[in-house]
Amino acid sequence: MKTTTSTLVLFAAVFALVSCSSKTVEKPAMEGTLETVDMGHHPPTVKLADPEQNQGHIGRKPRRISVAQLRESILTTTGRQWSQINALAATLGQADYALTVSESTEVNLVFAKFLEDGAREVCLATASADLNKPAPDRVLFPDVTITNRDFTMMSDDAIKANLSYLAIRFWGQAFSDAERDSWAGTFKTVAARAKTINRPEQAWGAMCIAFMTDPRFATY
Amino acid sequence: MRLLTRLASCCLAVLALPALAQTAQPVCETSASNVPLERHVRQVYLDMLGRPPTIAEYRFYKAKGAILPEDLQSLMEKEEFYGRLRTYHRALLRSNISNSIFVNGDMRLGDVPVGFRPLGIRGNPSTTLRGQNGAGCDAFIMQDDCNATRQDPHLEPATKRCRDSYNVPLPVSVDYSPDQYRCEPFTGLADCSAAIGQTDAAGRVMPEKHLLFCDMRRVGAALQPHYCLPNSGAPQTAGLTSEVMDVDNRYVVAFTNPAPVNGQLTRLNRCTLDLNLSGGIRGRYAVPQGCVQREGVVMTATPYWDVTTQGQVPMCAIEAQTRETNPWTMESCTTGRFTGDRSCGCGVKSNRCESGNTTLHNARITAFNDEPVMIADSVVRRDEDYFNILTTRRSFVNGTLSQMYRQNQSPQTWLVTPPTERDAIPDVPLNDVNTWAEYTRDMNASGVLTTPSWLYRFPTQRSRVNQFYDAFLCKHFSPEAGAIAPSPEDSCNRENNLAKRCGCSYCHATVEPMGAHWGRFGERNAQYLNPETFPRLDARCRDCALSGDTTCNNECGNYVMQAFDGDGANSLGLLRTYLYRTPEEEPNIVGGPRLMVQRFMQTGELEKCAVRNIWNHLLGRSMSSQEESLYLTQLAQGFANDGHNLKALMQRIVATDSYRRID
Repeated sequence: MKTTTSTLVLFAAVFALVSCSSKTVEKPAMEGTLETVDMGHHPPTVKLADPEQNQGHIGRKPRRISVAQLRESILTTTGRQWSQINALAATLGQADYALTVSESTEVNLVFAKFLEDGAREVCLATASADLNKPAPDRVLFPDVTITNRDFTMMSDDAIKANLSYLAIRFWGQAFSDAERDSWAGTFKTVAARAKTINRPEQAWGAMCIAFMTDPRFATY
Repeated sequence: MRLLTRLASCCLAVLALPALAQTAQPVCETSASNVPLERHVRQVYLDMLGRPPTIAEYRFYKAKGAILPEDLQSLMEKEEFYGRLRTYHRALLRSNISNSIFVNGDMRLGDVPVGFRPLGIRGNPSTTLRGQNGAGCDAFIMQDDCNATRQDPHLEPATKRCRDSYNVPLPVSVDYSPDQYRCEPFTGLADCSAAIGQTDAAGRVMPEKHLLFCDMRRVGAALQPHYCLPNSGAPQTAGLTSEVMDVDNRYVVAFTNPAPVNGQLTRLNRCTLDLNLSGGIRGRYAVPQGCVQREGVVMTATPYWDVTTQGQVPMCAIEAQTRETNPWTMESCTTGRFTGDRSCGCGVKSNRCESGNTTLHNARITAFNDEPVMIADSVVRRDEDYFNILTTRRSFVNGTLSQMYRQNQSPQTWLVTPPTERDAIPDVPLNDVNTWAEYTRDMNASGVLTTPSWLYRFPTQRSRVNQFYDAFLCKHFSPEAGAIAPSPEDSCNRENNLAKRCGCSYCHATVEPMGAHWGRFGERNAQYLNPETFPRLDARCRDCALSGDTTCNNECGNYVMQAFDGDGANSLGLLRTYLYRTPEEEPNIVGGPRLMVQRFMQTGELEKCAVRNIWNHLLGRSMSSQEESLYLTQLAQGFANDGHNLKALMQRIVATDSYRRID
């Protein structure tokens, strides 16, 4: 019985290997199309279009988030709202459907400037509040052990772990190792500066600003 | 051994797939994600819920390894998903009528902050009712006790009449109008008798003969004598230099212009409390030129928008009236003319007028903007056929709309026909703006296409067609490629029917008959032209038109009253929408927008456009022509097979490989 079961597992594995391997050499069913990836948990619905015939675009167009999405993104990622977002909504691109009939999701300097203003407001407020919260309730550094509010004491591993956490929190994207190392270096500089001026909230607050003003926050 | 090792690694890859989805890329991977999982989760959340995932949600999907169909279905039951779709439909319907409502404040009751502090209209109607734009009533005199205070004893009779025989309020005080007179104060004097022989602020000495041109006026709350003479600096009154004496040759009673030129007044009489009669018709009161005649104050029922004040409030006596008709002439007080008729007033609980501040007006705009979005929301939320948003009779009212319909509030600012019998509309308190009650509209209703928001936002039949084509058929009216406008000398330019005129017919041959579907809805308003009230042919309007009376007392605005061609001549007295319509097109008028939607449902174009719109919404770009050939029919067919379930369509598109790539 045991032998039979092992044989079945082996047979299934061989079948899987053969079927997976054969997929890579399967020819497109229609000229000018790409074969889709097997969806596994749901049936593939369509073939992909030919990138050459679609100016290279066969998937989602990367785009800037709308003002409504920005409003919710700030709230979700920092736990607080930017006080000026409603006043600046039209400037940031929100349509009123009376005079402006389509939402502008253009990435421009005006949007970047105001987003930076917003980031400064909410990030520093969140970082300040976090300093007085128990670890599980913190937004920006929930797993960091704070010693005398001095973030220069953090180990490299702790810094990188928190940066990875923030990258997912703000962008939904993981760091590459090289980029994470670069950001960790930046954090150390910022943390030292924050300690010097006795403004500990600026350590992770500045990193929060950096995450929020990064294009990966405002696009998807 | 090597084979076993390879098999083992493959099996491990299959079993450990969720954890390896981002890192390892084994040949037999069954994950579909072309972007890392967290990024895919983020885009699904931003597209579906309008927000990124929380850390807990990221961790949940990382542990799970993928977003499965049941996860999508779960997301599409969240309130955030419906909020996101409400935003989508607000954009699709361009539901904002804030710039579509004509309101100049002429029907707003403002507070006069002196005396009894009455509410009153101070805008343009004051010119007709009181003699000067912006003039209010006399806030210091109660109308029905008008003899208790005498502002200008030398200008008033010994006993004032507070009201006429039909109880219409008469003036209780009078001033000289600054539009025609230059009035300067005497300082330190108590009344006009003391001002005789005195010098005013302009250095003018007032002789006794000018006593009747001395005016006791309010400076703040106090009365102060003013010396008023025709303004020699104004072109209109510059020549009024001759004096007309009374029978006793003691007082000047008028100034005349012995040599008037164009536009100059020939005579200005002294002011009294007497009103003129416009056209000599009793009940059509008019204020003599150069005078500001003010009525007094009464206590009356609290206006409908004031839900905090108990009992009565002070109001100018003209505005406080509640008549349905002028008692002298029987002219209607329920039309826009009420503001200029001294006998009408603002109606019961001031229902014809509006609050002096813009809070309620803005609440109405917001509510009307929200109504079609609520209709669309209800269709999606109940998993109904998506195109019910274009045909359903279901709608919703909050407190603002409920009371507006039920109490017939502000009928002249808001030219909106109640969607059904007033009593059948749910009764929601006025200040309850967040409660939306469902009800069923009359048979003429057709989803969002007959809501006041749609009708006001797209004010003409042509613009309604244009927006319908744009939003629901993904088609745009534009000139033929390479089209050249015909020469202005071409006789075809004289064709009045745009469906036939050269250069216009390319679009209007479609636009005009399609527009007839809204033929029973007024233009630049949201009124339904009920066939019982607005028959296809109105004999009275036709007779007016034939006799050259093209206005017909302003009651034939929806009818053809002038003819510019043979068709027009044959259509005099017809409801305007019937002009140029062929017998084959006339059913469009009767069938309304619902018939149009039913016809397009048979073509499949609505489905394809819905697919295009959702594709655009989710992928951030429109379908390319090749993608249309690959996907459109398939997705539209699937949409139809799902009973036009919008959530299922969104799920199909999210499941495509295109959605899972970013490029």
